[in-house]
Amino acid sequence: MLNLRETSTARAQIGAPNYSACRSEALAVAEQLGLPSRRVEAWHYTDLARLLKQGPSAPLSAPADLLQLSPYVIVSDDDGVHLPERLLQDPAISLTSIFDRAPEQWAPLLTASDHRVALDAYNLALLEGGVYVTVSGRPQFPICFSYRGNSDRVLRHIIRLEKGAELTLCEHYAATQLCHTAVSIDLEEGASLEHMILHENGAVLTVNQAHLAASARVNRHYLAYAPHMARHETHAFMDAPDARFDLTGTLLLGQSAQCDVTSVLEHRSPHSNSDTLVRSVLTDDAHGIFQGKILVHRDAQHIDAQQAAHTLLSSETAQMSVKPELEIFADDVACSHGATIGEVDPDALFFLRSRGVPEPQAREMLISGFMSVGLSRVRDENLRNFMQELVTRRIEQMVHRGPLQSQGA
Amino acid sequence: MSAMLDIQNLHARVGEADILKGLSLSVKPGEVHAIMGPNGSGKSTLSYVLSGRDHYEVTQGSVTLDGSDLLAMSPEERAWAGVFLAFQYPLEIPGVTNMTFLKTALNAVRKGRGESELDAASFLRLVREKAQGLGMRDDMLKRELNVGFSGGEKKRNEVLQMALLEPRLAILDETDSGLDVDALRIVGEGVNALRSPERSFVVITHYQRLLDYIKPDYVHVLAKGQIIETGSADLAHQLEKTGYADYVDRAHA
Repeated sequence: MLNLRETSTARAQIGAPNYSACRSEALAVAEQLGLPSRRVEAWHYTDLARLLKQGPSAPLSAPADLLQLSPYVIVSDDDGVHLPERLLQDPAISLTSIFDRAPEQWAPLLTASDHRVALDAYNLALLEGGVYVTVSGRPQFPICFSYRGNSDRVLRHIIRLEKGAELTLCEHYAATQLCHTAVSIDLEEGASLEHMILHENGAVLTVNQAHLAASARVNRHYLAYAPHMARHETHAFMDAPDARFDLTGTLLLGQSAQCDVTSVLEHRSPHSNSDTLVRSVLTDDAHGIFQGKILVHRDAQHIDAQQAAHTLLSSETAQMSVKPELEIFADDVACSHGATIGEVDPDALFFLRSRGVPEPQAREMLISGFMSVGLSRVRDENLRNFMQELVTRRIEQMVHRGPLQSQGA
Repeated sequence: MSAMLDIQNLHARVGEADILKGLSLSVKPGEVHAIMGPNGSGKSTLSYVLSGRDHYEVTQGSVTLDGSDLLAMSPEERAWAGVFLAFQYPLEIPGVTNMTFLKTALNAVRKGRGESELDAASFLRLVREKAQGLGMRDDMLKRELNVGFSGGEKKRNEVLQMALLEPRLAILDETDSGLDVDALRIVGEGVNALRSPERSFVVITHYQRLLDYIKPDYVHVLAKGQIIETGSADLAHQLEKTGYADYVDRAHA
């Protein structure tokens, strides 16, 4: 586990000199507040101390290759952050290290309740790097982050989408040690972001914050199948009319994986919308978690906020925890939540087998069908095909190998 | 000519309930046998036992198809051997398109029969031709399997699957349920087009009206798990007038 004071001190030179005062202050706050425990409602299911102690895991033998998607792959490994030349040449993208910017522009960012401040201070105290990206118009390719290597990783990115900008952003978590990122996204009027967060390996803690101006849109997808612990937080603020935040979780978990998708979607403006869907297939001792909070402010009339979680369990010991929370202070809104948990329908399985489809293949078809609803929400066609391939491969592996083998080399 | 399907003294149960109690039936190639009977007589159980559904336990007797022990086979092996069950209530499968399903099923069956799989273009040609014959529009092939299909569309889709999989033995489980007269005619014609000297049908139904379209060679009355009466197509008309009560009472008098 990362020792907070030791590690923070060891990293004192990173980003110096303009950052060191900020880091010391963050360390003091983090030490004073302490990390949130499971007594904090938002951390009811995930033991953060345990998450931070995870690892190392075996390296992946065949990690997903984001270069199939885009030449703009920013690799963060044991040697630092590597920026591809082509990305820097794209006229729609302006990118610098966060340390090239005054800390006031990106730290501290979170000013909400205590446990969130503590988490943010933790990120800032241990920070190793990150990028500050401004996007105008439409970059030629998606911007991808690939987190790899065998040491822990604490990063912070700022993504700003100017008026009407369109971006596909991909994050790939494939390191063998803890990877923690805090990503803050600002969308100006009419900006649109498609955002995939792919978890293949290692313990992961992601904290995402997004502010949406009028008609801005975020379409976020979590795709998780690492057999490890993860906590993914989304905090979205719909600050103006016609802002829209869609969140999709696709969890394909086995072994002792524990994946916690927690979202707080704040409707602060009338006519803003959100739609959250988490679909999971869980086997072995895996534990899926979805905590979805919708907060509708007093003046935010005529909003539409939907939320659903559907799960297939395929072992006796797999479990799913779903906790919807709706806090609605407006009186003319459409909000809903729903959850189902079941197993692969034996009648449908028999139907397919009676048509000659062998049992494992029939099971695969039904699980793929179940998962297709989430994938169909990906708007970028290349990204959708890329994710579809990963999902197909993963389902095949879950069905045919029975209890999952570690993918380690 | 020897039997294609040979059922001898079949006893089967579901859970604690004995449903089939010594059923025997022999079907020769090319024949159409109708099985009629009151509710709870074991008609659907017979179709599920023949197609190998879980929880239908055979306690006695034998079933062979072309001399092979059908009961020893898994549902998919039975499909490869030539058994096809047209479901009373075809399942809806969200997220799987009809086309993907049909292609997967056809190629699985071809593989199981030791034939080569069809490439995409040949498959498309074949499925379009068969679908057209049943008056099915292209969009029914692109939609998710049976999702949002009307009762008639689902049954037409069953007949399409039958046409593609070319079974030796087709079992129609109350195919007439939920169909209006027009749909009934289309389904009946579709089935008739598949009749051949090498293919046999077991048509399970409550009512005589389906048999106006699919003319049976034999009609059997199933009651309390046994076949209690066998006759020609006329027997179905007789039953329509008198009901099952006479036969059931006589059999157990």
